[in-house]
Amino acid sequence: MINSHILSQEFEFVEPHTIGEAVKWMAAYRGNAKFMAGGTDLLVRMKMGRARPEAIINLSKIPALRYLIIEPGLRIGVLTTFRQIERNGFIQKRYTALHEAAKAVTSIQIKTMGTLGGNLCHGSPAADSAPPLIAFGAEVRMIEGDKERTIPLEAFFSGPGQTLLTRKELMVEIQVPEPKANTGSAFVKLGRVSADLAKVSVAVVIEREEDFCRDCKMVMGSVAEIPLRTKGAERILMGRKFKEDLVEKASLQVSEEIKPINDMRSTAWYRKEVSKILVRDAINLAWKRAV
Amino acid sequence: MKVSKTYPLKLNVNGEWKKAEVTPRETLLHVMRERLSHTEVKEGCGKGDCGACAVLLDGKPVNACLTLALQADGQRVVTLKGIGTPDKPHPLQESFIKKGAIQCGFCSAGMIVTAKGLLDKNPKPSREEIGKAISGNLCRCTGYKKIIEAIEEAALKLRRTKNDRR
Ligand SMILES: Cc1cc2nc3c(=O)[nH]c(=O)nc-3n(C[C@H](O)[C@H](O)[C@H](O)COP(=O)(O)OP(=O)(O)OC[C@H]3O[C@@H](n4cnc5c(N)ncnc54)[C@H](O)[C@@H]3O)c2cc1C
Ligand code: FES
Ligand code: FES
Repeated sequence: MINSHILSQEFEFVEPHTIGEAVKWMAAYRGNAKFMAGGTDLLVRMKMGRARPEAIINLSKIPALRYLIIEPGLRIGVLTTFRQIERNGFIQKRYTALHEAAKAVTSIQIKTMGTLGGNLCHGSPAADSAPPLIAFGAEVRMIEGDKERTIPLEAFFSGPGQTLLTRKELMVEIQVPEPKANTGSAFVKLGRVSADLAKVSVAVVIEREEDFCRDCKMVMGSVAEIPLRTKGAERILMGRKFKEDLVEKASLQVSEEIKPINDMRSTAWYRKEVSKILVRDAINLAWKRAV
Repeated sequence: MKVSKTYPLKLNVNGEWKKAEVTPRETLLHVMRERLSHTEVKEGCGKGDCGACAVLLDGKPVNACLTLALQADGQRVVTLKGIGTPDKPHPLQESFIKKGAIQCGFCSAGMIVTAKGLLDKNPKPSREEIGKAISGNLCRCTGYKKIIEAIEEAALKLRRTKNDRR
């Protein structure tokens, strides 16, 4: 039952102050605990009985996970919230698609609590931060015990609600390379109403050289089991002179590449149709911004 | 039956420190309503969709139904009553009444709390900014127009009184 002030299940609550303590707690619970950042996904899942951890390991008292460093790429501590991303002027300018994704998140309340780490680790194909971060070539750093690994975000998602994180692994950082000069980007999302999860979303990052599209990355949300890079459409634009009919061709290619489903938010057919328009708009926006 | 372990909780509610022993599964919404008698914090959907339960946590609007009480430990919580009372209403509360921005009133507490969060950061919001700020607060009665007007009017009044004091 969801309308409850009290969660129906019993669990313990621990509050580490360092990354080391957090992974030790997870080992002590043998992977049967859950890390919690803002809790906006986890608590809904627990209220619905879809997650039943023995304990919650609250990350929010770990200062070493809360930072946003510009150097000149980005290093984003996992506790960084959508609100902090949205309000950062440098990100708005250089990583416009990421700014627009944060801006597109449902409500001020969710932006205030919701973190980038939680958004990615939840593993939803509708996670708004995923398309822009993948398109910018982000990598994520994760820790388990004394082992550490860094993998491309593009390879991180493995299915709806599934990622490469092991049960005990903690994501600590998102690293985003500096975009090349003359790069422009855009994120376009269509929800049922403006305050909702995406029916379809797309992030486009374009590197421009005069009238040519030197490089292009295109990643879509809510159109497959995972956030999906549409490489066929990228190839249509890459290395070519930018022309309207190519944009048209790329947007048609996208509707071939995606594998949307029917669900409560939309039908697969509608998602394919509307994708063409969203992709066209996002490409044109990114191109215009690439100066 | 397994007995729940309890944990000490300290909250600053509307300027006053309160203590309670709570179990982890109690949300901030539950502790506010059932333990601390702050029934001005409403429960609508219980899952982050409606904003009826909005409070300011360290000055920022959050949904109390999606926050564990222990997550808020040591922090400042401001509810509708902390913004103004019947004897000393805040300009937001006055303009909501005057403009007819309250019908059944169920959304009003969360709406006013969220609007306060906005005006604290942005004393001169545009209509569009007001609309964005309350996009997580559902109202099934008013159609939002009067709410937006009420927030605009309160913002104007607050700016005037601030200027008068200078
Ligand atoms: C009403 C509502 C509206 C929403 N709207 C949107 C929207 O518009 N766009 C969108 O993208 N999302 C939306 N969401 C989903 C959610 O708010 C976001 O995904 C948010 O970013 C999750 O972050 P969090 O910090 O709250 O995660 P949490 O709930 O704390 O964690 C999510 C999951 O990740 C795990 N986790 C968290 N941090 C780590 C870590 N560092 N290492 C390993 N595992 C970790 C947790 O164990 C949990 O399983 C919405 C949710 C609600 C309730
Ligand atoms: S009751 Fe908390 S958002 Fe609806
Ligand atoms: S006044 Fe009734 S829900 Fe807003």
